[in-house]
Amino acid sequence: MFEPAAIALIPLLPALAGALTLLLGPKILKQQSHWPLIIACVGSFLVSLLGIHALTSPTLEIRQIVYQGGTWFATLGSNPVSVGWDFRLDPISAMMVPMVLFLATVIAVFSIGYMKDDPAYPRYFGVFSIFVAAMTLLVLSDNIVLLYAGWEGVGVCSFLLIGFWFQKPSALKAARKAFMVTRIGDVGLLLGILLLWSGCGFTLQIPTLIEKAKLLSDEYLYLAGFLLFIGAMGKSAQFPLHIWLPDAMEGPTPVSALIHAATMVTAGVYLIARFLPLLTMSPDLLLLIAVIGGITAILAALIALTQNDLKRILAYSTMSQLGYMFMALGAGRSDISGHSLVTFAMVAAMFHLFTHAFFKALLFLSAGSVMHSMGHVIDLRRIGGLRTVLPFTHIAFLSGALALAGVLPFSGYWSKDEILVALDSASHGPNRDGVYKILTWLGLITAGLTAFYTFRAYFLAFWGEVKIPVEALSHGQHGHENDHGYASTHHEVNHDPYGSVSDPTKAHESPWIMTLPLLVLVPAALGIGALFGPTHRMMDFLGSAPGFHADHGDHSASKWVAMASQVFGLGGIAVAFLLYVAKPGMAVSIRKMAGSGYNLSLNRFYLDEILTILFVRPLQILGWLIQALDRELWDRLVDAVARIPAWLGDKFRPVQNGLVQFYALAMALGLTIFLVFLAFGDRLFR
Amino acid sequence: MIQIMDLPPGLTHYLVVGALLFVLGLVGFLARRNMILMFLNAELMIQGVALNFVAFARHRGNLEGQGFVLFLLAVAACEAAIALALILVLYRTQHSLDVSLWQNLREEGLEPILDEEPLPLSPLEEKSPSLTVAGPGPAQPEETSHV
Amino acid sequence: MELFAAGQPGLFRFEYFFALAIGALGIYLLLPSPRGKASVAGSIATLGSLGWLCFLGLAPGGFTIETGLFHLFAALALVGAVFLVTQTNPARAALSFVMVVICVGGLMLLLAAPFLMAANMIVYAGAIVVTFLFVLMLAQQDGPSDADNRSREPGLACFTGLALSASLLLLLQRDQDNADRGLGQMKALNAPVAELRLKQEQTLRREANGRPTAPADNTTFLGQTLYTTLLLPVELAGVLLLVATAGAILIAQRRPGTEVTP
Repeated sequence: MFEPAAIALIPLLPALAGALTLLLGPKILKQQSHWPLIIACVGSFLVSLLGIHALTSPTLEIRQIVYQGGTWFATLGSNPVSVGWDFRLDPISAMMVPMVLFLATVIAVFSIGYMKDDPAYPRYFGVFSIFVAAMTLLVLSDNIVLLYAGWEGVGVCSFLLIGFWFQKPSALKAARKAFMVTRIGDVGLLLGILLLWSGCGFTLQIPTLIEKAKLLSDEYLYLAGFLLFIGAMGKSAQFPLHIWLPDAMEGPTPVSALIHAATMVTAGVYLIARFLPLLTMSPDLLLLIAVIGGITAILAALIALTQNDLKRILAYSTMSQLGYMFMALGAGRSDISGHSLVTFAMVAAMFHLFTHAFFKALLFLSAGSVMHSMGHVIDLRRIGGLRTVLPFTHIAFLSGALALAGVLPFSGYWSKDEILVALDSASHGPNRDGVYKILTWLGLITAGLTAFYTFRAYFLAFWGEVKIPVEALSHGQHGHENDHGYASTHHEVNHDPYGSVSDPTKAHESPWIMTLPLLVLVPAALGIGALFGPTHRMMDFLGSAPGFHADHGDHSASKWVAMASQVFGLGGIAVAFLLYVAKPGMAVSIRKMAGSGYNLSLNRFYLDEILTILFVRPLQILGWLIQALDRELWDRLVDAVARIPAWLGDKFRPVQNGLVQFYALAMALGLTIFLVFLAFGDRLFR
Repeated sequence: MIQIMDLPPGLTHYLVVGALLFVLGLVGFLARRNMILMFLNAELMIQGVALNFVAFARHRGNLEGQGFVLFLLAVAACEAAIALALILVLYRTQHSLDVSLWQNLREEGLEPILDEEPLPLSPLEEKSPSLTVAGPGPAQPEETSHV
Repeated sequence: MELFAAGQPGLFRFEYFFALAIGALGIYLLLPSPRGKASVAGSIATLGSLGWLCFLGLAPGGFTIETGLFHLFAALALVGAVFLVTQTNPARAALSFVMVVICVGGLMLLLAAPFLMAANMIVYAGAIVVTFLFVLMLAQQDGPSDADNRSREPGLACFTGLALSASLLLLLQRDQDNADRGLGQMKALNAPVAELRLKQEQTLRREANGRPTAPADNTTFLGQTLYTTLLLPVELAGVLLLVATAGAILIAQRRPGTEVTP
């Protein structure tokens, strides 16, 4: 039988592996530092599979396995805070945990090859393990403060991994930016937690919170939910807290694959999905969530149209897909007469999360493979025609691209379709239906844009004439410490910035340790959607989670959406083919026509700059002022106080003038005074 | 029975004299710069103390005070010997008996204290007798009178 | 402490203090300084103070020969001391010290300590002063040097002297007052001494009014005291003399290379 305490193993094993790697890695394990992680991830994965098996057993009344492992800390008093090691395995977390662990294992294997010969090899795997531990903790925790602990943990590990090559100033800046921006979200989340805690009778267990919070007033609920959503916005890079995600690509590509595609950024979606039964009581909040998701989706897609850095394109695509997920969650209205869309929306969002994790990880890993072969050049203008040079990577990338574009019968189609159906169903409700309608069309347009930019990247990189940048030839296949990261346009000074050499014989495919994970992920990325979607397995499984009801309702009114998304998707691919394979000149002319629009997109709508001026500059000035005050006023004051003993000493030093008679005089005077006080003291002080 | 020291001059008188001698010795010790004179002033202080002891011995009717004065004499003799030896050593270095020349124990970085006020010019010493210049005397005018 | 609380209405006997103050001023003026001597004013001040003290010290019990001798010797001793302190010429100062010794000897004689008088004069005036004069002649053959014409901190020294002497005198006066009224330390001191006195009186030849006779006996009894009560200190004094001799020889040795030519 499945012992509930085994749930605690799932985060524990990677945590132990992380501690082991960090402690023993630098001296003992060195280039073998990946073993603790791999073993722990495989172990936790097996435990989670066992857990799913136990969940689906018919003897279970409620579909959950709860394990309470003791108290971490607790306070006494009238408003107690009690945080225990409470874990809950229910369908939602049971879907996420194996996904996280499977992808972690695959990406770890990939990293063995990618990070080979890096001097900080043990540190990479150590932090990686801790990240996996924190992520699983986040997903499995039943106590909201424990969830917050996992939330913070993944934030810290993300920071450490983005800034992994900390010798590069750009990486440092990116890491700091990521941490700062997600911090804003974290503060919101904490405030939301506090509001819920104080409003729901000072409990911290999530199911109890959800139940009791339904009794709160509308404004309270809106505020608490909004604050929770701010946390989700920060972590999942929604507008306007999205600015950190593209810069996070400074980290190693496997890190981007795991953290910024599949797991950490989905934590926000998970949070909102879990609290959806509560948030659905506030339709305004749901609308807000959906709208922000929609803005993010279209914004990211527009920016991704013109980017030249492959990893950046993938980052914006992640952002866009996360926007989709939030749009889906926002469609979880329960005020439609007849039925509630909560479960359907939740399942749609989580299903898309699931499929997206696989194909986005696949895309990032293949981008990593490309980078590895091309000497860490990722500029699409400098590479081309890699179909023949990197066959396995090509297959991988194509699979991922097809899945992302939502082409039948690959996985992206099924999950995206569910989302659009949910949105359309929500638009049949009493109020705000117009907004949901607009969002549905927004989703469709974004789907088309997604297909376009994905295949633009594909065609630019893998079709056309073969272009190999010079870095690929001189460095070969091994990792280079000083060259890691985004290194193309700013690299050479005296060469033509788009310098390439058309010699295909020198660059070659990545080693098998890197291509094997790619090939493992290909069928997953392609087939997962079909496996779980139309077969209703996902709905059955997730819908049976406590708090939700499986919804096999009739959504045939939204059938047209499926067709439309297919049309948009294929259309996008066709346009991309046209512009980048058939008639290359057209792209240039369109760019000229678009003009300022193109620039706007290329410069990310200047959002970074705007936010810098609005927020960062005033803080910098404040910091400078405070530092100046500190330096001029307080430091001087403290120094002056510090100089007092020396000054006093200087005043007294001339007493020691070396003259014997002076000393004798001092002695005699002292003696006299002493005598006077001794003899006449009683009289003097009467 | 009449106390011996109740008759004038009483004990207190002798003690006062002893105290004044002591104080004068102290003043001299602190003020004079000649090492020999400093030491003599110290001896003056000891004289005052000795007087005190003898006065108390007389007052109390036993001779222990006087015995102590003898020891005081012995100690003063030893002190004189050692002090003179030290003074000699110091003199050999500086060729002066001025104690203010020895300021080596002062704080580092301080300037030595030197005499600033010039001494008033002492009246010229009387000329020590000197011989007349040797050699033939000055030409004398012939004596006019032979009477 | 309640004993003293019931004492004089005024803590201060101003006449003593003024006498001492004038004396201190006189000494200050007499001390050698580079701005020339103000010896006349100083001498007058000092002498006046001395006279006043003598006047104050006159007990109301009358004027006997002993009192006169005491005052003579005391005055001369103090004058000699003043000379010692203020003379610029060190040789003259040494000789005035001899005068002090002689006068103190006289005072000791008045206190029935003839042996000590002799010992005092021999050791001090005979040995120590002579040795000092030798060293002085050796070192300062030209007479008073620059240093002799200056004083180090005359003002502070005189002030210290004034403070010290004033407090001592006032202490003594207070004790005397208390003793007069049957209170105070002096009385209390006498109690355990009584047996000792008794024992000595049995061996001491005394006159009718209790004074010991025959000054020569003083030596006998001094010797007796030294070798019975004060035996250990005698031996220690011998050791001290030995050590001092050895030390003096060792210190004054010429060491090659340590002599500094100016």
